[in-house]
Amino acid sequence: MNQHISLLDYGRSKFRAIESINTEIDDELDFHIACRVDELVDSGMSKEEAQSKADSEFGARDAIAQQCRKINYGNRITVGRFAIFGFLAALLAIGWLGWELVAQKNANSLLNQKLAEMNLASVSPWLGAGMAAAKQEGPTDVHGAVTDAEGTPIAGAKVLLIVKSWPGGRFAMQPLQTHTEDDGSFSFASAFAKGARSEFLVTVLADGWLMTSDYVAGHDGSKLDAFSFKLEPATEVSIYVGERYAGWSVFPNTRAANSDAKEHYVYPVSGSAFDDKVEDDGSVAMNHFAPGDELRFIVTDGEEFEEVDVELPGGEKKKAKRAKAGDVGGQVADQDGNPVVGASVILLSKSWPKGRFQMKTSRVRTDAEGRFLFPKRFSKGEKGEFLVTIAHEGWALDSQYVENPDGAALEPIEFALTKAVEKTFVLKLADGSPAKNLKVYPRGCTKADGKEVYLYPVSAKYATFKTDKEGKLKMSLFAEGDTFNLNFTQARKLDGEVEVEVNADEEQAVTVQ
Amino acid sequence: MAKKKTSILQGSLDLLVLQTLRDGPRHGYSITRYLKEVSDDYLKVEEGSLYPALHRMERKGWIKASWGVSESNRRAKFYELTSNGKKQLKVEAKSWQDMSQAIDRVLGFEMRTTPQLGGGQ
Repeated sequence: MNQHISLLDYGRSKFRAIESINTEIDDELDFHIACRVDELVDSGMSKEEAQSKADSEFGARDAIAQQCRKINYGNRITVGRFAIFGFLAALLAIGWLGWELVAQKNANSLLNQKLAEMNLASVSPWLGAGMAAAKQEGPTDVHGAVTDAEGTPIAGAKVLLIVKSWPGGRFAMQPLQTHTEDDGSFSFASAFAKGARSEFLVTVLADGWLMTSDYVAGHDGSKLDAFSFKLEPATEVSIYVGERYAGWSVFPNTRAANSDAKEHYVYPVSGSAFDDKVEDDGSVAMNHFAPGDELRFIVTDGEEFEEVDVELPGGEKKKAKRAKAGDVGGQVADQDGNPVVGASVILLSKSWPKGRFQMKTSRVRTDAEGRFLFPKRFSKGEKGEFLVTIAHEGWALDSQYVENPDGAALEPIEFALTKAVEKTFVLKLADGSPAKNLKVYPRGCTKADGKEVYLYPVSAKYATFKTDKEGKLKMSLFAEGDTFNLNFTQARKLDGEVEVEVNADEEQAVTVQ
Repeated sequence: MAKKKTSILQGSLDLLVLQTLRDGPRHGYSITRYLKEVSDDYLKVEEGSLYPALHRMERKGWIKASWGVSESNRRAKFYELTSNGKKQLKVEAKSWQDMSQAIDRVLGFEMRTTPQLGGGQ
């Protein structure tokens, strides 16, 4: 018994510590918004208008708070500690329910009633949703069915629900999860407050079927119609997100469907529902997508979150349709005009919306004809500048810088790559010891013919390599005679850059300190 | 043949925040207003980047936080530089200056003697 009490005391103290962090983060963000409201009111705006504008400017408050929480106590504690208490709370609840059930000998009706009253889903979303799934739909349930195109139920599909609400005028977002039953149905009991404004995002992920979501906006809190998902088959693909993310968790954030241009979402707060990890070669296999889909993934090590854009090969119809102003596209070929398939094309786009400088980076791979396309990267008539870099193993690094001062439609950007030499660089510290586990990327190079090639630091994540225990690094991105800048970092202990002139040797020593 | 060249900075937010805290403690909102003002409205730090960055830097020991009362008599979280943060500021400022000058050289601009904030060519 004493052990149980100690465990509970330990749990309570941990729970209080986490709760305290959560409260402080909420207070800090609320303070920021309140200051902005004051400023807007001082400028003559009504308090309501000011509040609305301040909320809007601040953006996804809950997502920011969630990110701060994860920095403070990481994913494991977020899930682990709350899971412990969700579990303990559920055990206590079940014990209490059992006692009442025996006492009153009215099992079915009381169980349903108490589950609804307690709203277990709000105590532990993952547990509550699963427990509540078997009961009949209530007036505040979110429910629906998942089938294939012919109406055959899909069982075991993961169903993610986001409920947005505004209790007391403050925005709140609750992530829930469940799976479909054998008949393809799913249900989240008491998922929203009766009569209160709510919005819902339901996303379905089933192995071998396309990631599909549906969004209901401006719901008035009345009984919600059932969701109906008719899934289309998906193909398994290996998606490259980058070697530097090896071992990180990865989950899809958006899928812009090639077939109908509709976008499907998984919100970052639902990320803990996934357990996919990036492989050592920087890839992850998934079977929720179709050829031509434009995808955004979120990769995280529990502290840092990064977005990775990927466009799957295929979808020719869509690309033909999209050849218009705002797109940045072109073709990658070898010196004989043969297409280079699967080449990594990195775009850095600069724009000045409302006079403010903005820089974005993204990456796609060339299709079977060596073509690449970054759709809608600038607005018609607005100045833009674009650095397109091809960093593809086996081919010499190349880049082109395109200025578009008038925001006119861009001509296709053509590359004719030359072969790179196969090289192993052996990185050493000043004392001659191997520079092991060093993350490096080529920031740019001067080719033997004098041409300058660039890869901006902000795009480095798409061309990052890591040395092994002997400090060795295979990197075939340069021709003999090229001189490149090798940027290196090591767990924030080392940070710098060396200039390397590529020689004819298979192995080449580089001192990085 | 390889030779040591420069240290390079991959992001400027940490530098800007550390620099802003150089003259004393500030809360998050004050940091955004300061950067906006000193850059003549050119720099807008997104809240979605600022607060995670502040918490990250706090965990790294570059800044420390304490709760106090703001100029509007509200409870606010103030951040201030630690000794490690002061060292880091020097490192990041030097990296930025070196990178800025290197980019200028590549672009054929005249050499600057002080780092310029902001982006674009």
